[in-house]
Amino acid sequence: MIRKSLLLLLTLIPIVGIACDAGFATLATKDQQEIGIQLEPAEPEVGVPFIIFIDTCRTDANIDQIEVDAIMPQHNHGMNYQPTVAQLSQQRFKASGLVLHMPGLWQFSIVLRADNEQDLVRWEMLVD
Amino acid sequence: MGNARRLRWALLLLCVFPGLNNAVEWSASEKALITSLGPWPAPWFGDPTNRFSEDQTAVSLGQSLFFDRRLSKNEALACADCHRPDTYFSDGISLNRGFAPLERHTPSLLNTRLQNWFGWSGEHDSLWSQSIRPIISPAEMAADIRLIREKLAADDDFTKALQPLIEGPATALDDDEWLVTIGKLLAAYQETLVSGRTRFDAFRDALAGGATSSDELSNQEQQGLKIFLNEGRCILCHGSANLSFGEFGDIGVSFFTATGVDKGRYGGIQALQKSPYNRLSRFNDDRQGTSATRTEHVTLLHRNWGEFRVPSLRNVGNTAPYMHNGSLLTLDDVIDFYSELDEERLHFDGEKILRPLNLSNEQKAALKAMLLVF
Repeated sequence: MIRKSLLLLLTLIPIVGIACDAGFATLATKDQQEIGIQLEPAEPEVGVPFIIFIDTCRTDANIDQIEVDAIMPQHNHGMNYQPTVAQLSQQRFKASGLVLHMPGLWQFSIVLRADNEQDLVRWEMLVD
Repeated sequence: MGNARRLRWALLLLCVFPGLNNAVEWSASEKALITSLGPWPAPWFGDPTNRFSEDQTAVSLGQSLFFDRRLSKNEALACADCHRPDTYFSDGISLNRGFAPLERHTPSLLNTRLQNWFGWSGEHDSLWSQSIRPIISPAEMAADIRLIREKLAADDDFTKALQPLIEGPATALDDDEWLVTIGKLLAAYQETLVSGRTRFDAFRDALAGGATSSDELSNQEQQGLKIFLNEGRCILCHGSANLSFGEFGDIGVSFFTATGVDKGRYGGIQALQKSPYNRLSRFNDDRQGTSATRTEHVTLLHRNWGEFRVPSLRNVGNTAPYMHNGSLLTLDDVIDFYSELDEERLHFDGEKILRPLNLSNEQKAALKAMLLVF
């Protein structure tokens, strides 16, 4: 009985799969698409490098390039570091090397490129 | 004692000590900011890039090297001749000289283990690589590594103590490996230079533990702390337990030197990226982790011109003079500098958080009182 249940589960997983951006926060892009983001650690600390995972499974376009940046709009400066973005799979990207060097309000931007078109997501985060 | 008499005494005390009835109140957000300035000592788990970090033999060897004049040309200078233990591992003067006049003020070595960048322009990304620079700098200790190598290799006590720390005989190390070994031993010692707890730390701990205030700081010092957190905006750069987030800023201090221009962080990043001893080099002992993330991603920006490393404010009252060029001789000068800030001297694309504070004499005194406690 247990073995049959296990077999059933194993055959179902490839069909059902894991939710495309499970555990990610959903953001709307300028063109009304949706992407998922996940920060690691979830609450970045000032001066400590962190990562943003980006999932594009809900977008119509075939995103093949992503750029990530952050600025402090009240202070008129960005980060001292340039993140790099690696494509982990067709719809999963990893932005590394983000460091917020000052506490306060940060505005993040993600530029999504597909063929000759691009889309944009922005959001703000207060960092203590 | 009757009630009337008690009341007369209470009124008399309030007249003589008016502050008794004026306890400083702290908002929830201010308490959160104060809490973020600790705990002290700050947690620290060793430097993964330096295999000698926290090794007691290495610390002992590093301490002996720190005072060893064999690390310089003609055995003229040791690290300790500028980073003097009796002046908080600084030198108490604006600009010192080695074999030539120097253009940057000698920073204190206390608490350097908490830094991410080293040198006033962050040209080094580890304490050990920073420790190499003055040894080979022609203006500072001007040493020839081949001569140092000969002397240390012939020192039986030194090589006997060193041998268990390295793989293979010391004689097999090349010049770069000798320099890096010396740098790592020096760094292992400098990591032990940690300043003690202050009344501010006790005050911080009280508030972090839920107290509404604490008499560890006087009313005047607490007023100074409020300026530090609020209108002074000092905490935006001088945050964290080390009272600096360790990055860089342009506050309008001149970058002209006696011989030309100091490019500051701009030159620092250029030097870092060319350095054979940075965290991306073979000398980084961390093969598993992410210790090179900052070095990999630091980017050269126009605004880096005129930026210098934000120093820690711990022991600031004991480490005059101030700024990368030692141009401000006293804390009063520093406070006046920020109070009367010349915005014309700031770069156009510079830090918008800076503006003249226009502090009253009372506010200046309060801010100074607080700085002296840090």
